[in-house]
Amino acid sequence: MAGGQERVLRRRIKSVQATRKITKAMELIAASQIARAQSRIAKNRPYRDGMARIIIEAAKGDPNAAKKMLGTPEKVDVAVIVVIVGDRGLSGAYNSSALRATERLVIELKSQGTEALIIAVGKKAGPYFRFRGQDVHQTFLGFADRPEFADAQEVAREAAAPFLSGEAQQVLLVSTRFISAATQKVETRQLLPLVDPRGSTEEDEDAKSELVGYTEFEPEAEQLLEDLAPKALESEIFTALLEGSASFHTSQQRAMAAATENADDLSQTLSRIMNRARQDAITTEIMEIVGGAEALRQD
Amino acid sequence: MAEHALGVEIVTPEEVLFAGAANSVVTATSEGDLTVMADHAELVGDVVPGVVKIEVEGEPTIAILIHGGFLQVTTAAGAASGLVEGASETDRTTRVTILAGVAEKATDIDKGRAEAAKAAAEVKLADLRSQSGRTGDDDSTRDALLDLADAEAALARAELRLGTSAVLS
Repeated sequence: MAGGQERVLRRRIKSVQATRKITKAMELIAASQIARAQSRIAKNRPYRDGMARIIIEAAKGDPNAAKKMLGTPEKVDVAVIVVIVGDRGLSGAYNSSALRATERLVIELKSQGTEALIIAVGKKAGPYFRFRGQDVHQTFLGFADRPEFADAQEVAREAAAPFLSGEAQQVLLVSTRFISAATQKVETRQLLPLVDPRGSTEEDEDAKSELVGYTEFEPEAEQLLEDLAPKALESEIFTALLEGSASFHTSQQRAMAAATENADDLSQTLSRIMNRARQDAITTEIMEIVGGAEALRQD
Repeated sequence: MAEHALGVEIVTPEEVLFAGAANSVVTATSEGDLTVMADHAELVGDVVPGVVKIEVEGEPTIAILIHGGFLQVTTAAGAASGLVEGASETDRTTRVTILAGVAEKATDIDKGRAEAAKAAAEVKLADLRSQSGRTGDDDSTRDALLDLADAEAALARAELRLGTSAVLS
């Protein structure tokens, strides 16, 4: 029956438009969160930069201790992997790309005989790994959207515990870097042992070496490096959480904008089909009436 | 010209508490009290929990409570550019950076909240200590130790806040 088709279409259009309202609202909310997340990254930068400078100085002050505490360990039996994703979905590839990168990393480590201990931040990680039969050592929930420094400290403590007890030899971090509003990239980095920040600021050292005469240390550089390590870990994790949250909101905004646009297209297409169906129904009806009248007249 | 100027920044992971020119900074490392003025020798050290005092020309002393952190003193060309007005990249200046996980301006301390926190921490500590005799598996022992350390840290923070606000008022 032609009228039935029209009714079905009308219902679908209504549902598409209802969904569009939701995606549009989510898009706007995500967009408003991006600015705040970005300003928090900006406020965090002086701390992170200062931390890197202090580590560089301390490492220069005692190269032997630095060699012991920085760099890549030779043999890793157990590696802790901290992965940062979101608490919510509907954010495009944000969650899945970080999770896939983690999965690849686990496989790669396994092929080298290294066991992986996963610490996940974000609600989306647990089910992903459970489905794939991968154990998750610990999961943190509830602050991926709006991380506070205390949250980072808690994660850092759990991540460092197996390292400090000697159970694990390396702590890795898989997170999404917020490079700009247009670019976010999943990155794997080593957290412990500390990575010498000079690796990325080579020219900075050259510029300084002629000016630096003698730097005092209170306490000794070696002790200082030891004290710095947990703080640097907290700082790195906090930065990663902030960048993760900014990336999440950006991905979500983009995904929801695409969904809204798709809903617009869909409702347009559906209304065209519906209008045609309605016209068809009318035409058929007229034909039937005319045909019926014709038949009656001939009688 | 801003030769021999001192720029100070006190930063936490969440915000910049102070950034600007100053006459001197008084703080304490684990090896003793420390006053940094312009042209101080380069130094990297820790900062023990306590009040950092910043003297700014023509302004009352700024007191910032630091719950432990690190400091770096750099004296070089352009070290304090961006912090001291008029200091260019070529002026030899001194920059003090203090990093603290938790810090607050002494005037921002909420005395009532600190008192409540102190009371809560004391109750928690007493509670945890009364349980510490019990033996458990490794994990629960470790968790208990962590809880204990948390409560002790919370108590220390609250006491530091109260002490600071008592000195100020």
